[in-house]
Amino acid sequence: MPNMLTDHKSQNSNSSIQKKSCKNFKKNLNKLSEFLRKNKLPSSKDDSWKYSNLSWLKQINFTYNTQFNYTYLEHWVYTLIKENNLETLPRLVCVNGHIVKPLTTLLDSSKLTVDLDAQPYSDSINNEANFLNEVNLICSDALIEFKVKKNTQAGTILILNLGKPLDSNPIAFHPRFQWILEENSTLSILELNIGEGTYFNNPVRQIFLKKNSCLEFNNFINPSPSSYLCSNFFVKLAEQARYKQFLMTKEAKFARQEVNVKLLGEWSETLFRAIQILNTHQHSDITTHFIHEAPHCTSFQNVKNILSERSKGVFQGKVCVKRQAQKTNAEQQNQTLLLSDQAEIYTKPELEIYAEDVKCSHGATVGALDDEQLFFLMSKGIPYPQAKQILTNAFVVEAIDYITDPLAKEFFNKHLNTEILEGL
Amino acid sequence: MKTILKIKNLHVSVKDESPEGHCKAILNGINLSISSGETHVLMGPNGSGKSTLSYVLSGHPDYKVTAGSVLFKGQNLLSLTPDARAAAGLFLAFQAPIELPGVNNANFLKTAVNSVRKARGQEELDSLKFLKLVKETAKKLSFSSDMLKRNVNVGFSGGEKKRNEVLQMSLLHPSFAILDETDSGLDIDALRVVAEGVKSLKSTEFSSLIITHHQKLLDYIRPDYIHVLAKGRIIHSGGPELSKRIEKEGYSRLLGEFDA
Repeated sequence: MPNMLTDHKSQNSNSSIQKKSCKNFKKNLNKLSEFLRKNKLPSSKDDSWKYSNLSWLKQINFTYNTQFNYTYLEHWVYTLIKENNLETLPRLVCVNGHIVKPLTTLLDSSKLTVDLDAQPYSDSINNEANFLNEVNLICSDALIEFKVKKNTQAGTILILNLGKPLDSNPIAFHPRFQWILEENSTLSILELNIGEGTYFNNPVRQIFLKKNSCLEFNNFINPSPSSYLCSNFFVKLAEQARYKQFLMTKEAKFARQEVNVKLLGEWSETLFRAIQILNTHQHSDITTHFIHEAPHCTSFQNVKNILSERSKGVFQGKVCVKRQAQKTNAEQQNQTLLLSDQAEIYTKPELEIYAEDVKCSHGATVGALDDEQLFFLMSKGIPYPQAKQILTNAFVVEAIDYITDPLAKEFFNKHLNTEILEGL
Repeated sequence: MKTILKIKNLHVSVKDESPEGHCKAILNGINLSISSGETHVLMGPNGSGKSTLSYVLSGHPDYKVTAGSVLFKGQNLLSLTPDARAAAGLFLAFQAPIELPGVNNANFLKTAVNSVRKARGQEELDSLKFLKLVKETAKKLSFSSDMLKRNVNVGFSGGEKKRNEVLQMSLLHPSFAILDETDSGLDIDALRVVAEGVKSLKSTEFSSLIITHHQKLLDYIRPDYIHVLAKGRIIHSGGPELSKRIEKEGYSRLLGEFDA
């Protein structure tokens, strides 16, 4: 798997690895151009692309020169983990779609095996009719697999998914990951998507949770203001498996997080919470598709948006309950705080129910900041910008309270400046 | 003594809830002077404009000053934003304190204290110093530290909310405080604690305007002046004995005298 595994030397010399990588990039670029020539971009007539537009994919000339400056990267990574108290976590550093081995400490973990050139665990996901998944399949260099063994508590790991073009040319990369949690295993992932400059990151994550396993996935989407980040999550849960995801989107020019969950085993459970905090002309889309295929399963979705200036938020959530999925409990909520007259929210909750004995609900609310709360804070001496910040944070802080992993919770609280004073 | 607050011919309107958004006059020419170190009490029938006056002085945006002026320590109070008024030394203890779900009480208090300190050119308190201060102050007000950990006023009883207001007042060191019915809904012990909190601030550098309907708080606080507000005006002013008269006779006789 040399082209996905970047070591220090390869960045500083014209090593064979780098040459080989460049060859692949060219190959991938041709594949993408060919794909885009043959296939139409999803249009607003496509149900899942009603409010988001990929026209930029054809307009921007993305190159595949995904090299980077190692010295800069090293400083960047160590500053990031130090500032956020994440030094102790086993980590995977992925820059411009490549795993950077010298900065990665996860490969030697005894609780988790990593295969840098894995075979798909199931072909079903590869065959999903999903435009960006198809783009990823064509352009990704390899499938990277993480596996937690049976009865193993693998603790928390850190994934740094970084993007930074070497020069002013926009770049694109399409990493593909596969996570398998064997029976009775647990894992918590804190993934930070951070970047600089203009790039398109199109990761696909296939997640297979076996019987009674539990995965907590906390994602921080904060790439550069000129970046494009489209993620696809495909999650399959066996009986009694538990998937808990928290997602916070900020900064990207265009972001789309698509979460596809199949509850295949009885008593499996998925809890999904997300926050989108947008400003300027940002566009951010969260599209979910949860399918209940077995009885006694639970799914919960709560997406909160804080939209300022001319930003545009999208939430499309679909819950499908198959005929055999009796005693399903599914809830879906979308709440939006509009801080500007020009900001827009498009919300489309959908329930498709074929079973008779189920409890399903959905709801969407849109509102502004409460003037009385603002006045209360200001009358106690807090200036308007801070008062507004306190109230917007209060709107989303509840979602962070539900994060189980203490390190992830601390990270997000620190980021939102909602840390609780210790020592009372 | 130095005049700290001077209200002159203050007229205030508020938009009513009609679809046309008509303005309704609430205050019709208030004149009031408060000097440093003085405790004034404002009494009056329901709907006379007492709370409106407290909101206008604190800068609530819903109220429109149509005429008159308010000088606070010599500067035009009406030109200041609510936070600037607080930094200048004005404090309002709300009649119905607002609940802030998702906002931790201790964090809110620390932000308020440091915002005011920063605006006053004082050094901001670090977490350690703030915790020491808030714990000591809370203890004096019998305010349990559990309430500091909770969200602002969420799930607080009426008495706890009022005590939280007094805690804020003690921490923000105002030079002038308006207490809008801070005594309402308090049991006798809570009333004593609140009164002690107010009394502890009493000095030549601190004045207050207490809005109340009850004599009990005045027994503890011992005001210097009592004013009766009715129909948007102060219709009568007097010494501490006036509250006893009101308790005995109600407002009707004073209103009758004013109308005559």
